[in-house]
Amino acid sequence: MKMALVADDSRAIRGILSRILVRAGFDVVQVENGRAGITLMQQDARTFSLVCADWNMPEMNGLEFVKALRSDTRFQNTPVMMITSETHIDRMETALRYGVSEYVTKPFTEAVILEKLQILHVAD
Amino acid sequence: MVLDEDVREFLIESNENLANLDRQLVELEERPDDATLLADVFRTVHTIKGTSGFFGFDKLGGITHVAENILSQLRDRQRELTPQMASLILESVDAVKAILTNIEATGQEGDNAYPDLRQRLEAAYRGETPALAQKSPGVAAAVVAAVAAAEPEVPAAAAEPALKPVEALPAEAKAKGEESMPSSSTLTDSTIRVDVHLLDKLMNLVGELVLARNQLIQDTSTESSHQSGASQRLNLITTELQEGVMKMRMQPIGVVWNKLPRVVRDLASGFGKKIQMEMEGAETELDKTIIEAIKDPLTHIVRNSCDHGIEVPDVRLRRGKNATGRILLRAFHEGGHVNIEISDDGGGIDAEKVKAKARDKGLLRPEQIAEMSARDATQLIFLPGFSTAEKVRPASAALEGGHSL
Repeated sequence: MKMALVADDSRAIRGILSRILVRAGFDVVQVENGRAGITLMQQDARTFSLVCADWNMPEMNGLEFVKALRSDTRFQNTPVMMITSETHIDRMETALRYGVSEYVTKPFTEAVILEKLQILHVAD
Repeated sequence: MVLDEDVREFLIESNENLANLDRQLVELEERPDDATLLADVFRTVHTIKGTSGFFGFDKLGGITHVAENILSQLRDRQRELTPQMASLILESVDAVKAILTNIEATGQEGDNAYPDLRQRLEAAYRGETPALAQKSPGVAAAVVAAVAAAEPEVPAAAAEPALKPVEALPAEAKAKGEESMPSSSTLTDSTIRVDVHLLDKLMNLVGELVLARNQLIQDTSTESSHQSGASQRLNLITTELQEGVMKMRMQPIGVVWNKLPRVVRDLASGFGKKIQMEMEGAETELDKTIIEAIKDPLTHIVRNSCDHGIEVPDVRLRRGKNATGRILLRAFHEGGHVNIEISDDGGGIDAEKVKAKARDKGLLRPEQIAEMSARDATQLIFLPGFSTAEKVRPASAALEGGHSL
């Protein structure tokens, strides 16, 4: 089973996104901030084939989370989708510079997510 | 793509975040350079904006969008937080709350799109003198009245969601959640939400169990002199179960206190006073029923402090005090009780005034009043019907802790 990690501080968003990913064949683990995400991934024996991260989260935000992921050799190539309501183009550039693979703005639709999964080669 | 369940989650988490927002904004006025605080405030508004898009809540999205823009200017140090701007943001928070209440009641946002508020927010964002309408109270009142007349009133239904979070054991719960991963979507949240009615039912059942256990122990002890191992264990488990259920119902008193800084801020600006609020022991836990029960009296006492206790800055300076008045809330455990103290550094209670009022109201005979000490006279305020307003309770009322319930 493909594993995906969803990091977002909103339960509602985590729920919506997780349902889409489950339908797309993922086993989804949810966390509410970047700190919980990196801790879980470093301790978990399973391989995550996708990480979806919000930008604005308490404790550790999405950018710091991606930075932490990329500085760990195990996660250097893990596809990371940043899903945020930060719509400004500067923000998008910053995120990509930090090592985000795909940038999705909220609100998203199922079709958008599925398309990004194709681009990232993690769809079935 | 979106379910009713999602909307419900959105309402619950938004209401939770907004409850903190009032307090955080008031704190931000005191410490405008606190980047963490500002980030929290920004995130709350940002999250509501981001999520409202999924549900097509455009009015909500509109207001939070402009408010977020202003907050991002503050966050990026492009401008300073002025009291007018803080008032404007607090006003937006109220509008957001009103819309959320509508959504909870009807599933719809309601008809009010707050055009006036949005206009003022946008003007503030562009750097124009924010909140023209707020500069002079006369104009503000007129605008508010006009808006109220032009737009349907928002129902003042209970905005509180029926569900309250219950703290589980974070570390253990988390570990378990991650180990026993079922094949489908899994939550690793360390807390879960439980319907309060369910807790009440559990509490009643445990009460019944305690009675049954007592009966059983009585019966077995009359039949044989020693208790069997099974009944001893039953005894122990029942006691632990009872304590566990009690604990589940505990909430920190900060839940109620959080609402007070905003009340104080609004009252102080209304009276032209400067009041600072301090809290100690906000983490002190009380049973949920007690929390509910003390909410109104607590607010009343604090209002009373703002209203009658703290003097206007002129008077305070003349009396050799700091121009800013201080209200202190303290909660602490003492001898199995939880004490809640509310104190202010205001003028205190005028015993003569109290006596005069008691005489006028015919609560006591004149000769009783004449020989009364100042201290006894002060106690008169606790007589039912003394104040024309609601019932007043002693400021240092010792409330029973959850244990003894």
